[in-house]
Amino acid sequence: MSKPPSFGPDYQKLYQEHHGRILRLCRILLSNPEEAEDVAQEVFVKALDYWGNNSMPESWPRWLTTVAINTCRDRRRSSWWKRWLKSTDDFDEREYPDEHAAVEHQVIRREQYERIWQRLRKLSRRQQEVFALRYIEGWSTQEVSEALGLTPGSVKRHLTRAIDNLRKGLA
Amino acid sequence: MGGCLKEQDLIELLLNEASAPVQNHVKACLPCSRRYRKLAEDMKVISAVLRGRPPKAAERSRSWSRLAVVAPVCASALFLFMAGMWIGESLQMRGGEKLARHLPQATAQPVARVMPGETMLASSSESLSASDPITPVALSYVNFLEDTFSQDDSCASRDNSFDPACSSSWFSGETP
Repeated sequence: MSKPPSFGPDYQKLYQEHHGRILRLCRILLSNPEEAEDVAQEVFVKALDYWGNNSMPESWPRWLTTVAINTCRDRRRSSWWKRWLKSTDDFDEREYPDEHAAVEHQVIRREQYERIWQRLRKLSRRQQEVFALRYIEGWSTQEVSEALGLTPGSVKRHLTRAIDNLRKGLA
Repeated sequence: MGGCLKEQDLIELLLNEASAPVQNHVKACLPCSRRYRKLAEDMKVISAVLRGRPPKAAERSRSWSRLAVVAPVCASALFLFMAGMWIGESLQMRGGEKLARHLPQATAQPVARVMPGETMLASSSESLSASDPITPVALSYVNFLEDTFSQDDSCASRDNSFDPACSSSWFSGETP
């Protein structure tokens, strides 16, 4: 019989340290806050299972990020129809835990904010992933290329195109 | 380094992955330095935006963009279905009408053309007027047919092999 997973202090610490980051990554990859929260929870449930099996990855942050990317990919692939049906106007104006972002929101015009998100949505899945990992997560080109199975040159090209497209949202 | 830097070089510089010549070029070249500063400012804004929550408009546009894809597909499928139904029905109706209109005409026309106007069939009166000319060729053809059938009738009820009148028409000129 397998050992039941424990909500020990280590797991709680892991959750507190990385939940915000994983949620942000999922928001970028899915452009949908509700679904991003679902996926972030799913990622930590998977982490708990992994934890319960007494398995330890080399790096928890990296493991969480990789699992989040794969889960977002599955979600995007499988449930676009459900998401389309569910996508309504029930948007709540909750602020984010990221204080830096909250301050910046006061400065950035609302239109620009929406345009950038729309631009992000129009990027290809690969471009979104490369941009999220390389720019938002701060991974190196080599790490991104290994995680996504791309060559470093391809990572650079995807990143350049993604940034070009996003900057058009500022014009 | 020769010309100005590419966008990719500036991005690499921003992400601390640029080579020493690129760094030196940006320090020395004013246009590249300006482009780099603009890139850094833009990326600061983009980064701040994307660290936040996706706005309502982004979610809406997603649903509308999906609708924009699904609606024309459904509409065109419905249109094709309706058009198919309509074409099928009209073909059936026209086919029936045409058949009804053309069959009597098609059968009556040759008969009417070879018969005198007074003896014309009632059904053919729509398709042919009484003033239609009957050609001499047609008339001679009718006479020929009448002669042939009247001859055949005379021998039809009899066995040709025992009737010299009938058999002669079969073997005339061919016997050695």
